Amino acid sequence: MPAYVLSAVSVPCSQIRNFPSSFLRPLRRADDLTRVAALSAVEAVEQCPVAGSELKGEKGGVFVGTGFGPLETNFRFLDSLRENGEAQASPTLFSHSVHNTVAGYISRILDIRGPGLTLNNLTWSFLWAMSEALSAIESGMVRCALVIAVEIRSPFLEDAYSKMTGNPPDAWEYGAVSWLLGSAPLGDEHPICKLHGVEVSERPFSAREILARASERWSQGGENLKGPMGYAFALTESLYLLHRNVPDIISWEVDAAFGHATVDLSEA
Amino acid sequence: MQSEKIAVTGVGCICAGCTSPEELWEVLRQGVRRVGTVPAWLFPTELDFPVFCCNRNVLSDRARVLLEETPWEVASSELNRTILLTLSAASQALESAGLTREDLQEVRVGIALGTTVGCTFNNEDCYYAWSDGKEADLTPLWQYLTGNLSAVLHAVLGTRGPSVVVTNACASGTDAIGIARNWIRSGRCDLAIAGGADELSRIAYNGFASLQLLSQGPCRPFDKDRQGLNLGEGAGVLVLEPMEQAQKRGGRPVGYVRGYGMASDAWHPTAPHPEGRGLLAAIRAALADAGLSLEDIAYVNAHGTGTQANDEAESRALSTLFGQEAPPIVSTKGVTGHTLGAAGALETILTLLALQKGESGGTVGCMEIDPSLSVGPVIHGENRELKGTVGLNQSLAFGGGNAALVIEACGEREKGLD
Repeated sequence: MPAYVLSAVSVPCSQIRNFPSSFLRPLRRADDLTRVAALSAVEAVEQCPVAGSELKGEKGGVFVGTGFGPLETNFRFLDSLRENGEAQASPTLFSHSVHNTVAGYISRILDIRGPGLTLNNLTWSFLWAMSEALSAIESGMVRCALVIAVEIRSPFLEDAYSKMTGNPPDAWEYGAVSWLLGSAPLGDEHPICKLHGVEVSERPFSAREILARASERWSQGGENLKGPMGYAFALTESLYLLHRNVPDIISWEVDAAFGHATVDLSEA
Repeated sequence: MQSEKIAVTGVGCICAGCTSPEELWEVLRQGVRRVGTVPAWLFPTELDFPVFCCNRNVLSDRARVLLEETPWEVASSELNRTILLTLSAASQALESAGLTREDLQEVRVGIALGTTVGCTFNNEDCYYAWSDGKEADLTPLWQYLTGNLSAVLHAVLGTRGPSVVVTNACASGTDAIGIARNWIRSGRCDLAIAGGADELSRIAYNGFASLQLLSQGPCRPFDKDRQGLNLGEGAGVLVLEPMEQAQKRGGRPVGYVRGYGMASDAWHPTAPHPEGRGLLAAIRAALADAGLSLEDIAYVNAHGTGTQANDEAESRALSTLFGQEAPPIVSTKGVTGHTLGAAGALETILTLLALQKGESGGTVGCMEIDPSLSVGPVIHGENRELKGTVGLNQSLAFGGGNAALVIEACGEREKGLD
């Protein structure tokens, strides 16, 4: 059974200040990782408001895929530990340095009380999360699911990349992507497409292969993907191209030294 | 979707003072607490909150052999402690399942492991040097980038199949087992290796200290004088297979993962919902998934960290579900500590052991139940006979995550797990 892609949103980190005022209070302590992910989630729901009510309660779920997660928040906690001494480090920073903080916040602000799953993988964590969301819809565990990819800029990682490759990672893009999946087409808006399956196959990889991602190629156009979020942004952009000129079934593929992934979509 | 039961055919674990499930059960029965201050070789600290720490060398002989024979070029010195804990538990689980690396090449193997510390880059020397503008030795970063638990285990075993690391904080191990079980049910893999692992870390130790959640003494879950939790480290790993497939190859099921449920509190960043709202939803979902009812539950392995908020929320949820007719409830963190990403896996193994042996064991450290709690556990030194072979393992997490597994032991109680 396929899932319906009801909406899909990309939010680059540059838009992080555009947050609706109604969410400022619940997100006042949140870090940039959570804020940009929450912004994308809220926008995805705004594009399909009927799904927002379906998401509420126990039949809605949040599925987050992130590679580096709250790395920068963890560094702020390390700073706090060094500056303030043992047991005097910031409890707020520590509680936000856990990978599932994003899912926790989003479940709170959208009142999603079903599954909340965070998967960590440096290859294609968004696709693993999507695969789990699709399974949850197919099995009836949820009727509606938000699938989120999120990565934010880390100067530490970028510096490491430069040292490793001799080149600056000037084209890397950061931010969040949210897809809203449903078990049925909801609302007046036509769903973007159907999602039939996600297959990911990985191979052992080196640190260089996973940080540089130089081998990563996308089947549509063969262009270089930009950084750890490149594939998620590219796939989301492709959805709208498909929406306008969709063939019966399209298989989106990505290849890299660290594996191969396929996402099967069709017209809704 | 496969309708048959998903069997547990292999189990392995390592935690403070224990290197096998049977040792862990004996420690629980005897109420032994291998708890002490942080050893100097682990990390420097001036704090004296006790922890449950494994031996310095956590790589078992069988895991060492596995590494020596792996097609993946890696030395144990390049692997972090969480990975070594995982390899020790996983190699034991595979051995107890009667599976060799060669057997695994013939099937699609799913690997789902939960962790918290294991997916975080915590190397202070490296980060501080970089932060100060010095020439940082980036070796720890390269190791982190290739240190994804499930990817490493796939690489060591030379296997192919689904691979996820679950980072649902303290519920990660429970969720990983539930996810792996669902993979087999839906046909995404033929066999799964699932569980969780975490090492003690100076960062988590200071983080929990900053949240004022650590106990100054050995933890006392559900006790009227409880002060908080003790951190621990370890790994628990299960091998899961469709029952028919396991029997066909001569594997011996020791139990079944019957149902899985997960739900969010949608409440607070670190505190559980006071009524255990998400936990109730997760338990109900797991029971519905298993096609069983509350009357079938003969044992509950509680999350039971020993913090005020956790024990109250959990007690309320269990009271709402069972009223005063609750089956024996036990927290086993008094003998393992809170092992974070490993907790749900170790407690699933302890649930299987209790159900298999037909006895609850007691909640080590709980001498007198907090009278304000709605329902309480089996206390320290007490042991109750179980009236069935189906039990519940439940986990609560930072971020408001909750997970529950319905576990069934094989009827023949004389079968051991190792």
